[in-house]
Order: sequence, then structure tokens, then C-alpha cells
Amino acid sequence: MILKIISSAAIIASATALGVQYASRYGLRAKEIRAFQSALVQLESEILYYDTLLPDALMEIGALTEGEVGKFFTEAGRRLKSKRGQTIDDAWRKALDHSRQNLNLTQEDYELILDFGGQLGLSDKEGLRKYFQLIQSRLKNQEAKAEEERNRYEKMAKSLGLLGGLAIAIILL
Amino acid sequence: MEGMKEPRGVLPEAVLDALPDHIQAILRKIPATLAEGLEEIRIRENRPLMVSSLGRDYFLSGNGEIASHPSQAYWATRADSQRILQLISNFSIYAMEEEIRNGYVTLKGGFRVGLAGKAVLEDGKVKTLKYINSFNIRISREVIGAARKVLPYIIKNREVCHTLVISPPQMGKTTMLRDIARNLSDGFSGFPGIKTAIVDERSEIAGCYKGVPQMRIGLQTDVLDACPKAVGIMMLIRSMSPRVIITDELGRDEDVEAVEEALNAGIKIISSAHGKDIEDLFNRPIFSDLMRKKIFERFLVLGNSLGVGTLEKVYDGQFNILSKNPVR
Repeated sequence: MILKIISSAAIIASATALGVQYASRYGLRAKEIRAFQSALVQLESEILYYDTLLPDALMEIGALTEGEVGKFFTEAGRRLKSKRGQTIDDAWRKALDHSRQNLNLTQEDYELILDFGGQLGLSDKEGLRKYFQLIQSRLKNQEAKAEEERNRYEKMAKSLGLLGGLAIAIILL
Repeated sequence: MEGMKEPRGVLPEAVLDALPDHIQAILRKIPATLAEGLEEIRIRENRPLMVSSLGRDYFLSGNGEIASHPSQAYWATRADSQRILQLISNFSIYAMEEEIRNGYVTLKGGFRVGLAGKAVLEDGKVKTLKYINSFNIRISREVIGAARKVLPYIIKNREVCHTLVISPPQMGKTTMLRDIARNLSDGFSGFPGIKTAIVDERSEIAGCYKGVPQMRIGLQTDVLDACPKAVGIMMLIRSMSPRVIITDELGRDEDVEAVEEALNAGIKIISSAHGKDIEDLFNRPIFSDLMRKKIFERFLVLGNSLGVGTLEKVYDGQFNILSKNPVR
């Protein structure tokens, strides 16, 4: 009898854990978006206040940002520095595509960030100020959505896990 | 080495790096005679690619040959313009606002890229340029030894004389000033080097890139790059204790005032002015004061009689001729 209780508890717990694990992906997305937001704030300051050259600014931001988001910026900066014939568009896109597999961004997130790279190359300070503002507000929306999704899925996953575990426990035992 | 010129056969890499790949390719194919005398590369959107060599202008075709008719030339595109802007600014147009406002960007090696487009005004002054669609890449070359023929005239009793170089456009005025700076700073036989300073308002004398002179201007030379002359001269007097200040093209009242300040501080001035001969200066209001007060002790007139950079005449402070045989 006690064995049954323990086994049921174990099954319920692991099922719930699996569910939460699945939901945490959404948490990662939110975290990555926040990392982009923070990196872009620093990029804006490097560019608009310190007049740092873009390749250097990207590499600096890359070094200061953790994880795959940091690697993206470093790669974009490295490409601009080293390759002849790269446009900013090219370097930004290729670096983003390269990092995408290790990130949890949605197609919408991806396109937002891609678009922004295109503007970096063409605009003067006034234009850039507006683009930085724009992308920050867009990323804020995306982050809110990602958080909301995470909450929803987490709850759902916990419930499913709980119920699923119960069901299995009942069936088996 | 005296009289040595920079090798003219090869186009500078810094210049080629500022151009889109296909335009680079065209330039690498131009005939050697054209390349050796190359002075300017002109890229204008939706118009034929042109170069200026030894005083003449040519259209260039897609395979690097001189095109006899513009219709046979390579026509630059909008994409070319944008690409050149990205390349000359190192992808950082936002960081070039000052340069764009002045109408030129300087490349590594000291080569100037002149810009033209639509001026955006604020309070009646140019704030920036938009729609930049025209580029003028100037291939400036040092001529080490250009000043050799004038040094005996501008030094008297081991002191530098206040000197004015008078010259029509493109006659080697800047090249001469540059070499004078180098000689005064490094010193030469019979003259130990002295502290020299240059106010390089148009970044032509020292060819500074990121503030660092790219031309040889002397071991003891300080440069204020892209600085208005009047302000620059005052700053140098206060901070760099130069024995001589060299600056190009006096043209404004403030410039003349600053020159007088320097004189009062015991600093020698070597500068230049547009003109064919000394008479031209008497006719210009800016110079009337300077000429009346007999501030300059030497006038060097440059011309073209034996080729670009010929020293045509030398006058002293009383406007007496010291030399009238052209020397190359």
C-alpha cells in the first residue's frame, strides 16, 4: 500500500516535471529577448554617445553579453571586421542565422531583429535614435508576450503533468 | 633621398579598399601611364566613372580602358554610392557627422574623399549632407625634397623667416609646405631641427587619419587636424610652444589676426595664399594690412613654367626680387 502511494507520487512528480521542463522553453525565450534589449541599450550608448565604430561596438557588446545572444553580437562584429565585401546587412543576417539554432526566438522575434540590422548601416544619428526606440518598444511587446505564454504553458504543463500522472497512477496501480 | 617621389605605379591600397569590388577591379586594370599620374578618382551616381591624371580628365570603361565617349564608360549606381559610404566610414556613418559637415572624409594614408549631396541646414549653417551621391578621391603624394630649393631663402642667420607661398591652384603649394615642415622639424645641414606645428584645417598638409599624420612632416611636429586656422594658431601658441607654425591658405580676417598674435609671441609663420604673383596680394583686402605692415619677410612664387611646383620667383620683405630664374 505504501509502495503504491510512493510509486504514484513518483509518477505524478516526474510527469509534472516533464511538463514544467517543456514550459521552461518559453522562459528561455523571454530571457533571450531581455538579453537583446539590454545589449541594444549598450549598443545605442556606444554608437550615439561615444561614436564607437560599429565593428568595435558590436564586439564589445558581444563580450559583455552572456550566452548565445553575446555570441551573436561578437560574430556580427567579427564578420564586419574581417571579411571584405560584407555589408552590415550580410554580417548581421549571417550572424543571426548562425546563432538562431541555439536560441529560442520565434519567427516574429527573428524578423524584428533582422530588420534592425538593416537600419544600422544606413542611418545617421537622428535616424538611429528612432530605430533604437522602435526596436526597444517592439522587443518589450515580444517579451511581454513571451512571459505571458510562459505563465500559461507552465500552469498548463503543471496541470497536465499532475492529471497525466494521476491517470497513469490509477491505471497502473 | 633628395628629390625622391613616392612610387606612382601602384594605386594605394587604402584608396582601393574604399571602393566596391567591381570598381576596384576597373582601377586595377587602368594603363600604367594613367595610374602613375593619377590625381583624382571621381564617382558620381548615375554618371560615368572618371579619373584625373596629370591634369587631364578621362572616362573609364568597365574593363579599365579609357572610354572615348561617356556612353562607353562604367556608370556608377546608387548601390555603389551606399557601398562607398559604408566603406569610407567603416560602417559607421553616424560617427562621421563632423567630417560629413566639412564635406570630406580622410582615409588611412591621408587620402581625402570629398563628398557632395544635399546640404541640410540648421540656423543657416550646414548641419550635415544627405543623399551623398558624388565622391572625389584625391590621391595626394608626398614629394620628399620639394622644399630643398627654397630652404636657403627662408632661413636667415639660422632663423626662420616669416614666409608666404604664393601659388595658383594645383601648383604644389601644399606639397611645398609639407616638405618645408619636414625640413624645419628634422633639421638639415647647417640647421638643427626646431619645434614645428601645423594647423591643418583641411587635413591636406599632414593627411591625418584618426588624428595621426600619415605624411612625413617631421619628428618634432605637432598637428592640429581639421581645426580652423585662427583658433588653431591660438591653441598651439598656448600649448605646444612651437618655434614655427605652418598653415595653408590664409583667407579670413581672423586668420590674419591670429598670424599677428603669433608674431607677437615670437613665433614664425609660414603660410600660403592663392595668386599668380605678388601683385595679386596687393589687390586683396585681406592681405592689404599684412602687406602694408610688411609682416612677411619672404614671398615664394610657385608656377608651372618648368612643370608643376616650379619656384618662379622669390621676394624679400621689402618686395625686392631675390631670385627670378625658375627652378624646378
